[in-house]
Amino acid sequence: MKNFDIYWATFKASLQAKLEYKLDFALGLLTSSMLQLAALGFLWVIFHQTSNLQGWTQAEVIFLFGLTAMSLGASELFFNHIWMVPYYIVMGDLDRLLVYPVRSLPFLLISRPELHSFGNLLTGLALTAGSLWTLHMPWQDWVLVPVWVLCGSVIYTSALVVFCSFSFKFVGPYGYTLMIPHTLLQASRYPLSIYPAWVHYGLLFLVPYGVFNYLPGNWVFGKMLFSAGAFLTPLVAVVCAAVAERVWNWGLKHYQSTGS
Amino acid sequence: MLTVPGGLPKMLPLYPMNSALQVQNLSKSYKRRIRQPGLAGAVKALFSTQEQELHAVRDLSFTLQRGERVGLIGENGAGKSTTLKMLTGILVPTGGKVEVLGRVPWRERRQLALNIGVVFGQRPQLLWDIPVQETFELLKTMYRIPPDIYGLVYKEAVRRLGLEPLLATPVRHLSLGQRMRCDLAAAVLHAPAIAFLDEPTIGLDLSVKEQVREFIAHIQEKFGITLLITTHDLKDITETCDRLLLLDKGRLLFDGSIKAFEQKYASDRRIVAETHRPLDSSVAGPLSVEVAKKGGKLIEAEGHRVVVEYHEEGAAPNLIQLLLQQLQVVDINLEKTDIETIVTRIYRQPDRAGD
Amino acid sequence: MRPLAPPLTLSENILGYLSFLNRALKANFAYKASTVLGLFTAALTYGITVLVWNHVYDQKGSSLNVTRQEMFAYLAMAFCLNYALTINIDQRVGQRIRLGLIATDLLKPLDFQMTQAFQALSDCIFNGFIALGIMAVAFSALGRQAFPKSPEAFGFFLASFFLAFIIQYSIVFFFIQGAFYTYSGYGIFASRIAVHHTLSGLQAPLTLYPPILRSIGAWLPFQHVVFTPITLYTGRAEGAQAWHLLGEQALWAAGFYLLGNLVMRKALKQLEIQGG
Repeated sequence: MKNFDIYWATFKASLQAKLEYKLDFALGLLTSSMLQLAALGFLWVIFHQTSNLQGWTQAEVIFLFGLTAMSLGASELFFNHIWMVPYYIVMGDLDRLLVYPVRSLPFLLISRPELHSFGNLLTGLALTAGSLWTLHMPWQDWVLVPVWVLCGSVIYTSALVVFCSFSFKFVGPYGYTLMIPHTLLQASRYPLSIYPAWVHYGLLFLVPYGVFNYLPGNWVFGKMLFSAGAFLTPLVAVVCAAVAERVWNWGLKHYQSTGS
Repeated sequence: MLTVPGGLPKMLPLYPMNSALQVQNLSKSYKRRIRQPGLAGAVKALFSTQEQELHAVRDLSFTLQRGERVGLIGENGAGKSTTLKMLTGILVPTGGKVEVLGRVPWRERRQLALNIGVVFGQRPQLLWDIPVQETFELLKTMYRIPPDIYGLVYKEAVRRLGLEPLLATPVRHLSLGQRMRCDLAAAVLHAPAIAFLDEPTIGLDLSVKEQVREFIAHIQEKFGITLLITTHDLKDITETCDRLLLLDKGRLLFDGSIKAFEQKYASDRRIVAETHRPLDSSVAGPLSVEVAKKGGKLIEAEGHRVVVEYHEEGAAPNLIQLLLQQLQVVDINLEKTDIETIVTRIYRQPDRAGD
Repeated sequence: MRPLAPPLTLSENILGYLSFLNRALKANFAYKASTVLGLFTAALTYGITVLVWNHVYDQKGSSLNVTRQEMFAYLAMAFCLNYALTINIDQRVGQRIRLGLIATDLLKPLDFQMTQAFQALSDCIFNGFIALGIMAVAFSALGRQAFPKSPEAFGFFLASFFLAFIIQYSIVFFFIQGAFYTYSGYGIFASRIAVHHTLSGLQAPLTLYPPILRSIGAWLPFQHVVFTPITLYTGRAEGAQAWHLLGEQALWAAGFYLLGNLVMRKALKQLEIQGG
């Protein structure tokens, strides 16, 4: 990206500012870990009743949980500012994005990192590592984890951006719109094959979360024939990002012509 | 004036033109939902929406020359901010044409943004939880400001706006007034070709207002910045601008120099004289005839006071001479309605522009 | 000089709270799109739980000690109950604290904890109507499974629901105080929700929980918000056992209400010291 240094400088400065609030940082860390653990609690209940989900053992499902948690964490670390957009629109503050000589979407995303993301990142790391360790997975699998996480954060953020933009075009500036892609992410923590076909394929092709946890999981644990799809993850991430920016600019035009 | 140092010549080739900004038949209307009051209204709104069209700006046309200093005034809701937002590419108009530095703002927003500076006094722009100093550094990177320009403006801003003690403070810990000053500095840090300042002195106390005006005037002069200021404080305009645009209900009511504005609206110049002895009632009649001959009008002649009104600029010396000859004058004053009174008077007229 | 206003009488107090309730309801109705979207999100979250359980039943058949029909009825009930008891005062108060507006709330001549209770009641009424609508749909889909076991069971349920509201409100109010101490307050709200999700019995009857998780839950009030009312509704606890459960709920309700009051006083002192 041509103006990468601008975005990077913005990110660094904002991150540094956030680090000054130590108590908030600690609490946020605790909270996001707790949210992950709560989800794990339900998984525990499920596996108390059954030994596998469509052939996936508890340790294997935990790998999916871990990848998802880390992708969420990375998205919150780098791109969390998207969550403020509905409020900015309500308060008439989106204007400030438009006075700077930079692309509005990357500038927006990068300029307000959220530190509680570290809770998600750490919990996710512990889960993934625990899963790979107990299942004695080879080193290649470990190496690929960061790639999937990075792609995951891009794909998830793209979904947020698309929902957000659609919302300012059709519905109005409501924070709840962003909860939809967020909730769908929770669905993608389980092996997609347990769901009815439309959910399964919806989460692979429409909102392609399965691409950064389910497909890699399939590949790592040797589950299915086209598991090589895991290597398409970066490509999907790039496409998602491109689509997200187009949709964003299109939504922004609506804001610019209605002022709301 | 063509060598504007702050603008980035690489991004924006200088246009062989003098006008910085052209607006033709610009208009903007909004649709707003109507809500009925009360709980019943709230329930009703669940099922239906009624909309109403609001015309924020109608058929606006004007041109700004390079380096001009122009004030835009009008009541709340007259369309000042909307106009500014359209000129800066934030809003897209419903009709009309706009060219700023030869570009259509909402189509080439980013290229334009490099060459303009914007302040929205009601909503300071500084985005981050980071200290002021670092915000400036960030802007330096973002606008690719050459070090010499940056150093120069930065020094001026710190000195004239008294930013020194604020530099290490995160933006959100600043008071509105402090933020405003930082915002102003941030907006002109890259010595833009045009600066759009929307109420740059709002919420500041008098001495700081003065500082801000001085800073604006100084930076404007140094870089030949084209200036468009909106404000409710007319002193901002009399001290920093030459030309005035008066917006009313979205329409342009006046466009011209401040002097022309005064001549057009401040028709009532007055001479007030005080006499040594109380006036005799018989004086008034003949005096009024004499005064009328010299182009004035006798308003009052009672007690020790004589008031004469006139419109023609050149009439004053003759009238004064007349009064000095006819009466025993101990004191004489020329009164001119100040611009603030004029503007207030215009706002109060019930059927001015009309719908 | 105008004489000092006398203290508010009881009826004036109640009128004050009612006008507060009226205003809160109005605000709730005004956000129609938010309401629909919020409901949709809640349903989506719940859909995941239902689909996961559905799969477990597909795989394991009837070897669980709860039948599929019972499980779905339970989940529908839990969803509605939880929806009705979703109280948003924490986010609202948290925001007011952050913006420094809390001082004006505390200046009003009404008890802060009580005003907030009425705000919560408004949420509960508003969300409760929606929950009833969903329940009606669930009734038609699930048939007899969705009805209470007996008239007595329904009576116990109503009492239990009321106590569940007080417990839920008191827990929320207790956690709100944390917002006085941190800038964002987000962490505290989200932590509460995380624990509530795991231990209230929202996603499965507690009888299916691993023993360790169950015993942790037994020491906390969260199960009395969702699991206990449903237990009474479905008649899994009757007679003396039911009275016992209600007693436990009442104790938690009173205890947490007082605890909230205590913590509030402390937090207010802190506020005074910091100057807001």
